[in-house]
Amino acid sequence: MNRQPDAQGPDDRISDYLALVSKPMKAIPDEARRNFLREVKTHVETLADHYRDEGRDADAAVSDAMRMIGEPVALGRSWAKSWLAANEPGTFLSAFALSAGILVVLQCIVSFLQPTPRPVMIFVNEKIGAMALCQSIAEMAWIPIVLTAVGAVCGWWKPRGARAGLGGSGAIYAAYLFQLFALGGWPEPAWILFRQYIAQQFPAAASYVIAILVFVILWVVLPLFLGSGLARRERIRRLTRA
Amino acid sequence: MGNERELLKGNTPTLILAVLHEAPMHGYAIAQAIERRSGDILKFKYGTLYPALYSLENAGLIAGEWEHLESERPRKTYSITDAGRAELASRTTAWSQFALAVNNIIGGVSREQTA
Repeated sequence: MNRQPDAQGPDDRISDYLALVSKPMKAIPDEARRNFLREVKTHVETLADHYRDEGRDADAAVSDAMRMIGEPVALGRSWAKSWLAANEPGTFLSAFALSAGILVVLQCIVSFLQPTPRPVMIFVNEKIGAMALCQSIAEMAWIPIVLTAVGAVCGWWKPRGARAGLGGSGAIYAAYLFQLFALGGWPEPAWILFRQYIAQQFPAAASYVIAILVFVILWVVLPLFLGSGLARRERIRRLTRA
Repeated sequence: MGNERELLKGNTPTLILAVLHEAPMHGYAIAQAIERRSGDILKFKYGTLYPALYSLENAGLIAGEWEHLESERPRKTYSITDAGRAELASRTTAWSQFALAVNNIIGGVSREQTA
């Protein structure tokens, strides 16, 4: 309550209190913000009426009502966080879509510059060593790792701009489609090597399950929840800064 | 009082649903009802009320409607929805089981201390 400026009358003090409540709510649309402020105002006035009925003077009644409702910036921030969490579900998808789009373009460029496919040096009966396996994991992992990082940066920086710039989230589906082909063994040799390795270690059915799990972890869990999800939380924190 | 505050914070949605189960109310009345029914043990910091109300409304568990009465200030009155009633029943069951389990443990400790 020490952030409330001095004001003339009770109404002015309520106005100043509401101005502080609305400070962390800059990212909230006007109508939602106005409705919430109106509700808080009604609450302050009703509580002040109650205190006046108990015998306090007008100034003390309003002061006590505001004190009872709580620190105004914290109140505004808390409500704004609830609003943003409920109404910004597409935020992390936007960041994810942009990063996926960038990577699809990069992948296309690399494929274009490398017209001759890399030889896949795998033979059905050849035992795959640890070194080759590490190499295949590194080759598979670089795209999701970059995707996670880019998604996080975009989500933190300007997710709405990212969505507008990309024109929707079509790129994300393109990226998934591409990787689904890769999961089937085309055209990424790293996946083939990985599939070959787990096929040697596990029964056929289990190897498919493991391949799908790795795909989900690399392309869904890592970028969506770790990268963009964290970025979304940070974005909400940034948007509710007073 | 720290313990009560933590308990209140985690159970605010349940308390709101419980008081709205009896009658529609506006924000101030909800806070008053919770305090009164708890025998003034649960002191509401009203700032926690509105984010909880918004979350419940957004989840479809309560519905808010502005009332414009000539004699009074315009105010938003909340009422519980069918989904809210189902949620309250589920939360009540979960809380009863939890409270029973904690009572069984605390009761045992209490008996040992008095013995």
